[in-house]
Amino acid sequence: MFEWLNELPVAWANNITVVLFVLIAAACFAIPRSSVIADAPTKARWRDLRWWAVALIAVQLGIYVLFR
Amino acid sequence: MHPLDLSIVVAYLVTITVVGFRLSKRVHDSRDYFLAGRSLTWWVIGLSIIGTNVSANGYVGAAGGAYKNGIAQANFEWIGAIPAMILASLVFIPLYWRSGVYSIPEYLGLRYNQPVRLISATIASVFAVFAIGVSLWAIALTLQTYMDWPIWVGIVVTGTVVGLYSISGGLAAVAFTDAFQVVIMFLGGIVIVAIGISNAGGADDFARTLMGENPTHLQAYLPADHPEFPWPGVLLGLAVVLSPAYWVGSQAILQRTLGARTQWDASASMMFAAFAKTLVPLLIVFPGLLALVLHADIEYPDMALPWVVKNVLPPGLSGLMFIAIIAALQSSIDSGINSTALMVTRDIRGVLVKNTDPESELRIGRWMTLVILLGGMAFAPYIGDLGGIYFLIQTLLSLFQGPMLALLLLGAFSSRATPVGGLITLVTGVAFAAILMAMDLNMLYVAFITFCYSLVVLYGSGFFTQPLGSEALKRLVYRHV
Repeated sequence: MFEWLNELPVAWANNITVVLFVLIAAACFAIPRSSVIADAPTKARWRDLRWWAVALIAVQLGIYVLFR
Repeated sequence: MHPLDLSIVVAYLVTITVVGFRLSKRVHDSRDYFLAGRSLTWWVIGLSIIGTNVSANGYVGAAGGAYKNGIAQANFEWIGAIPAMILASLVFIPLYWRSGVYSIPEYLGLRYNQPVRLISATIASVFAVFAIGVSLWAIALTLQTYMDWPIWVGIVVTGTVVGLYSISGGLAAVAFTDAFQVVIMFLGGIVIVAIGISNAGGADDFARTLMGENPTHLQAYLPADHPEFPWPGVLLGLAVVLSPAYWVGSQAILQRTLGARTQWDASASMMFAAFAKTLVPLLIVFPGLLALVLHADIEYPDMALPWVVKNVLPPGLSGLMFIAIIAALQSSIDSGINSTALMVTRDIRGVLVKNTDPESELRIGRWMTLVILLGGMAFAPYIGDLGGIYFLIQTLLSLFQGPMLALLLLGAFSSRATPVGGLITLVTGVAFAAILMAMDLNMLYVAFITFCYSLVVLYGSGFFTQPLGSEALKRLVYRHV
């Protein structure tokens, strides 16, 4: 059923992964800041979890570029 | 065993038992027992999530997988975890939190109906008992390799220690001991990486030896025709289906987020766990590669990690790493028995037995914890006959992860998903997955096909069956929030 996929080069996997992570980072900012820090003890900038996600994704991009 | 190692082991066991007993004084009702009285902070929960997850995925099995397949094994920690953890943190945890549920099956019961709650809780509980058995066996295997204990002795000793603090202290004891265990795990992991690379002649020599003898072992993805981890299967099956289904649907993982003191703490805990998760391959994948580079004399891949602990680390440090492995596996067992006890007590017994007494939930929950632990202990000795630990867990998971993810995704984002449609999707989706599995299709593709099937069935059935009322959907679906 999936035999046709066997011909696809491995390099595509890393490229698709990079694109996927960039899209996820963009999607995070579709969520309003007010919703992300709704009942946080303070409204400090570091509590905006969307930026935590961006930092995480940056690390992932480095990994998938390195281990090609 | 070296006296220094032995003293470290004894100090660890005494510490977690004392912590567990001290926290038992906080437990007054089932909310304290199952949700830690909604008092946990983000970093404790985050560490506890990692402790639970690392063991659930198989500390020993992942090292064995890396020995066999290389760094591609780490995809279970990277592409096969991080996107889904972000989804859980920013989308699903706030939804569960607002709906005020104790468990994921309870959310499914509210969103669909009680049969869906019952079936999902039963499937998750059966799997959990199996996973507890796998973790107990993995600990026993480590104890046998390192201390020459018979398998059954390792199972009984581990079960007794975990049972003592889990049954008395509930989720709070589980979360705090997990956090302590994860710190030990990371300390042990850092030590093993440093000494391992040094023994291999430095990072360059390590990489050169590894690549020279195993050319694909430092590639994140394996070829599309690879029998176990073809890259399209990893992306479609693991990243799109299995991983999100686990991170947004696993009761063992998410229960501690429902015990957070605020919604922000709950969401931040998952994001913090994702940072730690990025580093987890250092703990569970690197030892497998190290065993390969050092030409370990082992019978099968799952022996890679115990071999490294026994042969690479000096006395004292080997005791620390030994504790790290035991701690990782214990944190999986304690979380498994606590979350399964919750599902059996509230989601199975609560649905089947009408007019239950809420006052009795704490007592029943503690008994259930004991029964589930004993069930895992009874099952554990037979795991060794069933093949590679890690592959086995993933194979069984893929049977119901597709339908479960479809129920959660459409349930959260569309009012089109209906109670009857949910039940039909769950039952036929699992059956469809079993049929595909019987056709010898790779389990990653099985997960993806089943997920697509479940989405179509669930959405399509919404045209013919009665949806929930707008008021009922208010806190359960995003467009109504």
